[in-house]
Amino acid sequence: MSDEPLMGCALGLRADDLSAWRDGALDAAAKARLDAHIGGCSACRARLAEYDAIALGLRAIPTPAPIHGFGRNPRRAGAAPTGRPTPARRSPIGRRQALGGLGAIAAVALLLFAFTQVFGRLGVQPPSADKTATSTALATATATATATALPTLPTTTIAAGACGKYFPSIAKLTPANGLVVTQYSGLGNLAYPTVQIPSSQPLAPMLEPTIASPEYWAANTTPIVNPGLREGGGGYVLGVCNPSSQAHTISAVQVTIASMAPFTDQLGSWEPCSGVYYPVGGNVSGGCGGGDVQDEYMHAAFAADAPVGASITATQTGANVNSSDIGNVVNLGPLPVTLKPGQAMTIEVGVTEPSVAGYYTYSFALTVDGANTGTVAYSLMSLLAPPAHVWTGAACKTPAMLALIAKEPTPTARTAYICPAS
Amino acid sequence: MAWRGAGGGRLLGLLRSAARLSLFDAMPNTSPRARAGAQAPDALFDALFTRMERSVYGYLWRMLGDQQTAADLTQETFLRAWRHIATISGYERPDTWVWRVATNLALNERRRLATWRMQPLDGDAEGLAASDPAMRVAVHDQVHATLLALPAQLRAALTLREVYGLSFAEVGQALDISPANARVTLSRAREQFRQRYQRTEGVR
Repeated sequence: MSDEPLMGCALGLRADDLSAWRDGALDAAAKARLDAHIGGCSACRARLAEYDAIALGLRAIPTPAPIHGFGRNPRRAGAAPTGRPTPARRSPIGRRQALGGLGAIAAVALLLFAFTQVFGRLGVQPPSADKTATSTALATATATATATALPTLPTTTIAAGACGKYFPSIAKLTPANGLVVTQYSGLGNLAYPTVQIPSSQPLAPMLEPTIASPEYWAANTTPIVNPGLREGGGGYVLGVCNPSSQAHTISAVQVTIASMAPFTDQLGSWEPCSGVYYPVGGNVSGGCGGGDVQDEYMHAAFAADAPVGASITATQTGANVNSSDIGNVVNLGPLPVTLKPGQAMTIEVGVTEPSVAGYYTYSFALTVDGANTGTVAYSLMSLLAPPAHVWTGAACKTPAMLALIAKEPTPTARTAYICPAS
Repeated sequence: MAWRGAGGGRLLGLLRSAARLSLFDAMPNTSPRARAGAQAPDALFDALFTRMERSVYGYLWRMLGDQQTAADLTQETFLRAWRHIATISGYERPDTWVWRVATNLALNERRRLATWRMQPLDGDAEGLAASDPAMRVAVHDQVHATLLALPAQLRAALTLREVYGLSFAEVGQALDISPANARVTLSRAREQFRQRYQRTEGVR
């Protein structure tokens, strides 16, 4: 609990203290005391790292565009600035007319969809976001605006029993020939996405892109960049459940490039797992690992020049022999798999992406009882491009970078840098 | 404003909103001050709208997990901002006023749903969204699910601070609580989020 001292903290600090420190809510004396302590306290740093992760996770929540597009500026729509408040809610039809017909809606919605993919998904930058990053985000928005708008998938609500015990009741489920399908987690279960560093960023040490360095927030406002796309720790995971009263057999997974918009800028990227450099102490943090356990591991390898619409039947690369994530069925073996009523399974699909740099979205279809389900899930849009510059914490330990860091303002225990490694 | 739902909720809603409007006018750190070169109301409003519309929508989406309601309340937020533009234009930080309106609308939406369905406010373990399929929540994101399971005030505080970069004092203003209370609320929000997320991680 937040009022108990953290385990392993020599100062006996509580979570409250760390929160207040993070929020800049401490008085000068208390702040100085924590500044001096935190760098050397692994318990405190671990908890603060969790808070950072929460912040990043919240910013990364996928945000769908409003169903009828964004509203109209009420001032331009002729609302009176003063006077009696009038009910003005739920007027999509009025909004449609205001925008000038369905064609305009489609055009505006497409653009807004793209903007939302970039800005909305990760939240709009705070006012202090720096200009170079903002312009990169704008370039990104322009590029993604040309990506195909994806249709909305039909969804269904599941009963609390049957599949409800395997998928949280808030999961979005797509009906699929008697089965229901969901896709897990905010990143579509992708592991190790990198942070895009603006191409205009000088090739010199920069502060770690976190909330602690708000001027670099905007570096996080791009689509997922070069995530891990290999099954067994970084693929797209589909949860499949059988809510019906008869058995259904899944025999194949098909992966299609649903949309792509070319990326022409130079990509700078930092993978958080590669760590940061702390001038106080001279250490480099970092390291991620571990895989995940799913029932089926599949892979779709696209040709280097695969265009939008290219479709591949994924090949089986493994099947779980340990207990399943889903819990009710174990050791299903490779596809085809027959799910009895109330049974569920997970399928992780890795992708070898085409080599043309761009913003990609994939769609997934299953073969159930011999028939193709059509699309049951879309991946989130990802920027897949070979980085021109890779940033790491370790790269800061070269003499040239150390010399530049020495000229920076006096660091605190939490000051962290990343540097271009190439 | 039109409060959908049962009669009791409607009356309470009206009373609350009336009380709130007078509070806005007395917000301590956004008190009217004569500013040299203050923007014309039209320009100020357009700037607010352009700068904040998507943020407010993103905030309300995070708070409620419902696209249509988030869009409606975004529209409502700016409609109110435009109606009160003469007052807002005197504030030092008009943004905080907008966040506060959006927050009130979001908290009220939760109250309205709760009253309507006679469910406990901020249902504990599952959260209102999770227990209420009628909300048609299309959330498939574990982080968002965890956020939605937090009590509404904690959810608002954490989102405003971590996603939209408000200071803890501004979070206090948006939630109509003291800075000291905001500090505690943020800490609770982070701790509850961690614990819930760790619990649900095993579900996947």
